[in-house]
Amino acid sequence: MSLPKRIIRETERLVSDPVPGITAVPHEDNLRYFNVTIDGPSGSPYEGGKFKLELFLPDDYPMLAPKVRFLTKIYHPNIDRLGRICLDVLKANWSPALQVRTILLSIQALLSSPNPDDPLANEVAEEWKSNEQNAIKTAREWTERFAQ
Amino acid sequence: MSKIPRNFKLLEELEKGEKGLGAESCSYGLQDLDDITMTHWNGTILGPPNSSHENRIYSLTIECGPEYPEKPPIVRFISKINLPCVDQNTGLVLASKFPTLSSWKRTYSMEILLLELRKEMASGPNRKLPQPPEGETFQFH
Amino acid sequence: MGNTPAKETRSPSGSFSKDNVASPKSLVGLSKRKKERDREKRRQKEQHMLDLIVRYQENVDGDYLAPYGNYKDGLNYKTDVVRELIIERKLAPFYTPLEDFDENWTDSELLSRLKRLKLHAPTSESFLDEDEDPDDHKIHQSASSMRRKEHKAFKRHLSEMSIKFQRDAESRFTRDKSVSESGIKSYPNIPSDDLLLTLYRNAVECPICFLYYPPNLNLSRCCVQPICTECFVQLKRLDPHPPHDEGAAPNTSSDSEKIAEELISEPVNCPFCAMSDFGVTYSPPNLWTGIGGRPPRDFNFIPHVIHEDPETNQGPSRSREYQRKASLSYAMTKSHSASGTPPKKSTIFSEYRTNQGQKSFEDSVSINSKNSDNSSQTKNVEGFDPARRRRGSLPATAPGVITVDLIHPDWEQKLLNAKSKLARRSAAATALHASSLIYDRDESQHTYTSRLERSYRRSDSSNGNDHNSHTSIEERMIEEALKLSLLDEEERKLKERLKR
Repeated sequence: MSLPKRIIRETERLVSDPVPGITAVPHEDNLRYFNVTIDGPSGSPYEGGKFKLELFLPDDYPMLAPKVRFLTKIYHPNIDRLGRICLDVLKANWSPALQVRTILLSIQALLSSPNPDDPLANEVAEEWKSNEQNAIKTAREWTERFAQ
Repeated sequence: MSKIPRNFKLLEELEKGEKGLGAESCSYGLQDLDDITMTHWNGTILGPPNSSHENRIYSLTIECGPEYPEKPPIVRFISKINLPCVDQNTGLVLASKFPTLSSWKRTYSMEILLLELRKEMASGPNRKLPQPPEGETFQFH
Repeated sequence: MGNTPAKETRSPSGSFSKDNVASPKSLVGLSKRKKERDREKRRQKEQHMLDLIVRYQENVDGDYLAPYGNYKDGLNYKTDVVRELIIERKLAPFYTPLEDFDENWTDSELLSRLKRLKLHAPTSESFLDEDEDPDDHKIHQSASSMRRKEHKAFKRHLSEMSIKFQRDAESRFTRDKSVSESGIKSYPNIPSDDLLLTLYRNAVECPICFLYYPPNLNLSRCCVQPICTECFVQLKRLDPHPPHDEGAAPNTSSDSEKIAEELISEPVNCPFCAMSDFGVTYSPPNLWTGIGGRPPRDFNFIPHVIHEDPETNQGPSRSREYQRKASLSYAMTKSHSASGTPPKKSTIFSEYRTNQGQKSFEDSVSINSKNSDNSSQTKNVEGFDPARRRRGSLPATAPGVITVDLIHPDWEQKLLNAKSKLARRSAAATALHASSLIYDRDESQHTYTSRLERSYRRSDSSNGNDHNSHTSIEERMIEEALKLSLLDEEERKLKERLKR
């Protein structure tokens, strides 16, 4: 099946006009499947880390959201141990007017502002709420251990 | 249909298993929820009724390698079972005697694999095979 | 679309059939009534498939009544409603997309691209591949899984037919186009060069599919953003879900009745500004070609209104003659509608005057002959006057607003179905305590659904007879889910007993 124009154009734009701190490169044998890296935002406990993710555009894209997962271990209340992400724009608030670029920016923003009230990783969220300093310290340690 | 990559297929399978949306006669789950490669899985099969497997619950391990689902997973019984397609020393399910593995399709899943094994247990010649005492396990796995 | 006689034959409510308790094997035997109902559902699905074929003869203002095929799936919008809306010029036709567009293209460059356009995207058989159904791998195939197989086979059959029909329509278009071009004979529905240029000269990109279309796309009611009809019909409500659903496991315990009542279905938000209850408006260009207007072949840039002899209308070289005359400005020609009835001439002319006004008429006087390389020559094309573009937002209930719900009216039925499915799941679990029999809930389920359908139909008088095509799949889905949950529940109980 040929690739929809939209995906071709989005890919071109991602390459020709990349977002600072984010890369997205499609697999040669599957142009709907991207290797992604996101730099930890400065001022966050993830600063200095380079996080690997994978992103897949399902058949129904853009009517359905892209599927995204962290491949690098990360200590974050909205990201679980398998790298699954709890983010509204990936679920109920997805809109076909959003793009791969905007989704990756949203994920980068999620790293800057964790939301322990809507957790996916419960223990992490508990720690974040009861002892935020300690949680941030752990997140920083994990960044040094896994995201270099 | 475009090809869904290994990891996203396994995530879908995991979610189906977690939510209990699959068949009740089998179940499966990740051995270790920290296994970001999602390689090692546990499976169970409820022995089919009207067979010598009735009322037994069989445990298995399933290994989805990097080429899953292009290539079938490696399946091994932990619980001892007497079945032609199962190596009696190791518990390994033999592709040569189990068409689901030898004619594997990328649209198959762990659930389908387990259901087919269950079907194998209930098939004519296998249905009444004498079984080792319940609770025994294969030594090597 | 025809009426649905099967409606009347549905089982009356309350008659929970004696087949309620039956051996699984007898599920295979379908009652006569059910067979009739199945036949009716199939007929409706066939009609739906036929409605999705792009035929060049069915055109409105230069484009078509069925989608080009950018999306292979999700075409379960109400085709009859959408076709009607396009014919009434309340929704943009399904324009054939251009993959690329450059405003610096000369007319001949643009035209050569437009003439190569197909009616439909290439159809590949490969998308017929379907997901594996785990039920096919169970020891005993349930009746529902067999019916699901039947249903799949029928779907495959429909896909194959639709591919064949679309190919036929395509080759007919290609043939008639080349015959027209050779000048041997002209076909009234092969668009003139002028029409193609008028439509696509200032093509715009749809912000959802990134393809290029004539500039008068539908506009979102709230934030006045363009969206092509093909993307618009893809938008629909999410499946019914519990409020604040974040993918929690479906609850099979006894409080699922409560959860069933809480299930919600929310209107689609605007993809651009997230305003609830998305809808669009459409301002038709003053082209009036195709259904309800003059033949697309006869659209021309001409200096004045030409009062032509209807007899010469069929002449092969007519459009060429007109092209020679075309030079200083555009005007509407007297025309013959596709259906043979006279066009609403007065309406067209009054609209032309009010909307185009003297100014744009004068602007266009400066335009030279159409063979010039001046790419801006058609900038002030009739009907694409930007001044006509709506500026403010409109409520979803405003006249002329086409909402997502209007073309996907099945959401209410889906919600009811989902609620009853959940409620019955818990009821079934309770029932299983009392009996180890496997229930055939088929008849009772149908009865229940048909009662819901009837009450729903009453509340929807305008399109009353069209729910069946949508509910049929739903009905089957409930049946299957129910039966599976019953069987699964049985096994789960057994498992529990074993553990103890």
